[in-house]
Amino acid sequence: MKTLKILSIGDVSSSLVEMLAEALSSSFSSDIKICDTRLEIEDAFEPHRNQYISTKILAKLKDHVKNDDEKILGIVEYDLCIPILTFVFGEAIMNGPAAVISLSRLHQEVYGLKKDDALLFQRSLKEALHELGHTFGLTHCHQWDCLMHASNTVEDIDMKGNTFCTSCLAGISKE
Amino acid sequence: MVIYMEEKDINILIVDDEPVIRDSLATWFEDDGYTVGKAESAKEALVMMNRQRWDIGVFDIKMPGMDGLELQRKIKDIDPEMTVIIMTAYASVQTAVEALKEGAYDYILKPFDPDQLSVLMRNAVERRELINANLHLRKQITEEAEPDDFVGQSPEMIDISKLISKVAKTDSTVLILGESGTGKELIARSIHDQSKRRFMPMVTVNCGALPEGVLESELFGHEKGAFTGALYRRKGRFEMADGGTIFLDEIGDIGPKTQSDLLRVLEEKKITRVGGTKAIDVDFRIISATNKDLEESVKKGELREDLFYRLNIFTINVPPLRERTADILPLANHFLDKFNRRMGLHIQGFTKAAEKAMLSYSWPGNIRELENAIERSIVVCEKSRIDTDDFPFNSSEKPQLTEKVSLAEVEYNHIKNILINHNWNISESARVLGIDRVTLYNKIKKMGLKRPDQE
Repeated sequence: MKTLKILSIGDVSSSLVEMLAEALSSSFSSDIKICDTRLEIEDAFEPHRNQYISTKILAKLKDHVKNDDEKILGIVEYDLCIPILTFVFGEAIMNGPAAVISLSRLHQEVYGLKKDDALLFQRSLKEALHELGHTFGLTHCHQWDCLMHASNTVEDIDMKGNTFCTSCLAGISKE
Repeated sequence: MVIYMEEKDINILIVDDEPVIRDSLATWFEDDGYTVGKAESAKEALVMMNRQRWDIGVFDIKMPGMDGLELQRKIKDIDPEMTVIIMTAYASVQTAVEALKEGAYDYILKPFDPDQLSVLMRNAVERRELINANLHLRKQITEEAEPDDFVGQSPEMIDISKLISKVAKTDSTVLILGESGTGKELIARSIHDQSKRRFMPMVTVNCGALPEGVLESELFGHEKGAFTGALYRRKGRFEMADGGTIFLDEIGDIGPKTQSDLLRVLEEKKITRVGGTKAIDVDFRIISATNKDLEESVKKGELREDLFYRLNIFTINVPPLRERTADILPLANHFLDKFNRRMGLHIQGFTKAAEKAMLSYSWPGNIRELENAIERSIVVCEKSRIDTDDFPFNSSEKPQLTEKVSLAEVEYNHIKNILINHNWNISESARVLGIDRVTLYNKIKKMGLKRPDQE
C-alpha cells in the first residue's frame, strides 16, 4: 500500500482525524492523505434501527480508490451495523481497498462515564488498525493482545494491545 | 483427546433467502477465518450438502418452500453429526422449542449481538471438535478391536463355529487339524475368547520352530544354572499360561523327550523347571494344532500313542480353502476392508474377472496366502477395483496334472531337484524333504541318484 486515504464522514473531530493520520503513518510506511470529499451515505441509513449499514458505506468508499496501491479508511460518528448484527465497531473488505470505523460506541460518555479523549484516540486507532488489517487479508487472531483479536465490546478493545502479533505483522509485510 | 481444528478447517453453511443476511453473516465468519458456503434455499443447501461435508449449519427458520426446521429434519439423514443453529427474526418460544426438540444445537434471534454470536460459534466449534474426536476414537477402537479374521459362510465353517462354541464352554483338550494357513491359531483364539479362561492369557508356542532342548526350557522354564547361559531362573510357557490357555502349534514336530515330559504334564497338571526339582501346580487348558497326519506319525513311531490320545480328545478339522470356495469371496472382501482401513485407501472391490480368478485358484497357502495376495493387490492397484493384473498369482497356473507320471517318478524328480538346489547337502535336503538323513541316503541309493561330479 503506497497511499492510505482517510475520509471522515459527517461530523468527526478534525483533531482526532489528524492524530489518527499521524499514528497510522508511523504504523504503515505509506503516504497518508486526509480527503475533504463529502460522502453522501443517506441510503445506508436504516430508519427502524437508527443505524447505518456499514457494508453500504464500504461500497461507496471503494469508488474513491484509484488503483491497487491505495486503500481508504472511512471514519464516522454514526452507529454502524450489518443486517445480521445489532452493531459493529467497523467493517472492512477482506483483502480489499476499503475499511470503515465508527466512533459512536468508543466514547466513554456512551457508557455514562467521564469524557476521555486520550482513551477515545487509543480505541479509534486500534479499531482503524484492526479494520485495515482485514484489508490486508488478516482474519481474527487468537492472541488476546494482538490488534487482530476480535472485539465485541469496548472492554475487549481496551484489553488488547496496540500492535500486531508477529504472525499478523508478517501477513501485512507480505503485501 | 480433542482434535483441535483451525478455523479454516471448519465449514459453515449459511442458508437464508435474504442475500444481505447471507452476505453479512458470511463476511463476519470469514473475518474469523472460517470457510463459508451460502445457499438461498433449503433445496440448494441439500445439493451443497451432497457435494461436501459441512461442520456447522446456520439456517433461517422462515424461507419460501422448505423452511429451516424441515431442512434440519432432512439433514439428519445426510449428516446426523452436523451442528445446526436456527435463526429467526421473530421471537417465538414455540418455534424455539420445536427447533431444539428436532435436534438444533441452538436458536438465535436476528439481528444478533456480536458477543452472543461469538460465544455461540465458539461453543458450536468446540462441540464439533468433540464430535470429531469422538468419531476419530470410535474409528480407532473399531480398528483395534477389529474382529479377527475368522470369517466363513461355507457349511463347513458354520459347523466349525458351532463346534467352537460348544467346546469353549468346557475345559476339554482340543486338537485342531488342517493345512498350513487355514487359520488354526484363530480357531484356538476363538475357543479361548469364548471360554471362561478368556480373562487370563492365551500363550502360543510354535513347537516346530524350536530345537528340542530349547523347546523344553521354553515350555517348562529353567532354574538358574540349569545349563550354560541359564543366568537367571525363567518361567516357562505353561507357568505363563496359568489360569488361561496354552496353544501348542505344530505339535507333530516335537521330539521324543519333550513328548514324554508333555505327557507327564498333561496327566499331572504339574511342571518341573529344567534343572529344578520342585513340581509346580499349573492350571491350563491345552489346545494343540498340526498340519501333519498324527495317526500316521503314531504308526511310524514318531509320536507316542499315549500322547496322541491325550491330545486327541476333541478334534476340529479345518478344511483347506480350495474345499470351501464359498468362503473365498467373503474372506477377500473382509481383507480388502481391513487393508483399506489400515492403509487409508478406498478400493471399492474386485472386478468380475478378479473374482473368477480367485475362485478358480487353488490357494495352496490357504487363508494366509489369500490375505497376502489381497494386501499386495491393494498396494499395486491403480483403479477403483482390483483386477487380475494386480494379483501376485496366476489363476491359469493350475496344479500340474501328473496323470501320466508315476508316483515313483514324481518322488525321484522331487528329491533330485531338492538335492541340486541344496548343492547335495544331505542334512539340509533331508530337512526340507521332512525326512531324516538315513532315509534320504537310502532313497538316493535305491533311486540310483548321483552327484553331478560322480556321474
